[in-house]
Amino acid sequence: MSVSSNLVEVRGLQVDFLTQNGLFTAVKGVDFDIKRGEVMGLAGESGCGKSTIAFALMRLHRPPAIISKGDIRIDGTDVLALSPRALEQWRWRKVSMVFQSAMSSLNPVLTIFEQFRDVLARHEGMGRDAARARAETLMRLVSIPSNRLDDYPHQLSGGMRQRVVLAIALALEPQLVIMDEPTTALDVVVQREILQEIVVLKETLGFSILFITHDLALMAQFADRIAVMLKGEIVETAAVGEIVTAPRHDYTRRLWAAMPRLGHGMEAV
Amino acid sequence: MEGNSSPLLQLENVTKTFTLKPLFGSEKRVEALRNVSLRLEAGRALAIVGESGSGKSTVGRAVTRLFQLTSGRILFAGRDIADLTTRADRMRYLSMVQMVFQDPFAALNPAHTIRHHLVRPLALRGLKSAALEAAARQTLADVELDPDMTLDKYPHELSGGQRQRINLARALAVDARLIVADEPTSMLDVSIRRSVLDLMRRLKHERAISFLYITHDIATAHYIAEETAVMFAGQIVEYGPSASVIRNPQHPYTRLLLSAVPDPAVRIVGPSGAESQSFSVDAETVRDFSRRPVGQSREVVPGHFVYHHSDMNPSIGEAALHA
Repeated sequence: MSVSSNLVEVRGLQVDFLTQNGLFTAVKGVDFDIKRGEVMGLAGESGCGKSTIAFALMRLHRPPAIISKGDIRIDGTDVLALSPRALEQWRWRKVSMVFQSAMSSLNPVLTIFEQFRDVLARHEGMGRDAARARAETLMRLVSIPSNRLDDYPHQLSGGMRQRVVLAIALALEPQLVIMDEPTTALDVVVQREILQEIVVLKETLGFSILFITHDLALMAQFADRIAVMLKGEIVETAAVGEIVTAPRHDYTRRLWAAMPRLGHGMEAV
Repeated sequence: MEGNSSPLLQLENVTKTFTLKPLFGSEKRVEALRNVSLRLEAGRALAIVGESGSGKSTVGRAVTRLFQLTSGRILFAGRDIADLTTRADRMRYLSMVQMVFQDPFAALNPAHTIRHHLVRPLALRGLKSAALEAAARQTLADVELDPDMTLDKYPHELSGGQRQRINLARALAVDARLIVADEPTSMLDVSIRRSVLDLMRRLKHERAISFLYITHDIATAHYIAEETAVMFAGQIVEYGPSASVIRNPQHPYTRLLLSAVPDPAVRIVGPSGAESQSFSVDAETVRDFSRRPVGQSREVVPGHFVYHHSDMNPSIGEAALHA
């Protein structure tokens, strides 16, 4: 397969959950692409299936979830066909993830350095000194002094922990970083600081991002293209400008209308 | 600014210092509130806006008497709440002042139905059997939930927005006059935040319930509250009518908060963009500036006060003061 401009190609992806009342289809045959270096936004309410897609892309889904149909290709690799061993090698090296609960996705009893070393030793077979040097570089990348490597997660602020999680996700220079509500737990100023930093990193390192959030306004500031999900289906995919100024689907318009925004509704108090 | 009738809630120079005594090492003092003065009239809402650690939640907890103040007074309907020493007085105060928390699930008991959550506070009013059931149904209807669908459900069977409505219903059940709402919508989807805010607004208008609305989201603050106080590092840095604070922000910290509100019209740009990397640097400069003791306030327009005005660097202050 030749190098296409699409890093990710998803076709007809269907994810089912086995429940007591039979099959529940959480993702109903979605198609989307992510170009190289692109920020693709996936927007929708809780329970629409957006996180399920994120987990499926890395094959991190666990029973009772099953991928029953479809095709996922990332940089030419047929992800659904990978053997467990190949999958272990492929994960984090090609695709990494910043989870929704990034605050708690660090191990509380290990220092920050040990968490870097875990990734670097397992995937790159790095020794202690090499891992230390690499971890220091990564910390500088996300603007945290490298002496904080010997701290435990609880000694860092929420924003710093988030940056550490981001640095660990970038440790193996993946081509795609999936970010599932990466800043939801942070307040607005810190959220803005971190997104600014992600934009800078993306321009320097050139990875693609799948950015998942329920906050359409935030996504519009950050994504190049946006797919809007409703009940397991993508109802509209368009460039960010169109989603903001000329949303076509009724649901996208409803999402915009549901948000109190500055300068709107001031008279209503 | 002092009217003749006493406001529902008034904070006078409230200061709270927490002393942390770790197992090892020296003790550490944290000034959570520094000389905070606020007033809230009946049937109105006051938003307290700030980032994590600004002391905004401490204000709410001080009002609900969760700790003793270091200095200053909190007056409720003209009476110092520290003087409520009899059990009856304290109970009456605690039922008039209710709190709604950030996590709508953690605030409900997962082992009990919604009926249980509502019947208990209603029974405190002396209601029994049929009247009690009718009151529970009415309370649910008041928060726009269907009693037939909701009464026998458990908290986990409801959505986040529905759970937050139950928490508001519980406050209604004890006939609260003041609801301290600490980030009541920040764990909800953006798309249902507005409906919960609308409900709070309706309760304010129709039942004259006052709200102390604590949030980091200045965009939702103006949606519900007539007045907004911006807090940083335990101090109020700007205070006034919400519309005035938002349209004509004076303090650099208020401007920082406003500039960070997600606005689909503003792209976050990379190193090639001009203002990009400066955001973090600016944020740190503004935070350092805003940490200093505030001193005297200056009234910008009637009712709109700004602090720190005397040390404001012309480049961050004066331009906007004369705008």
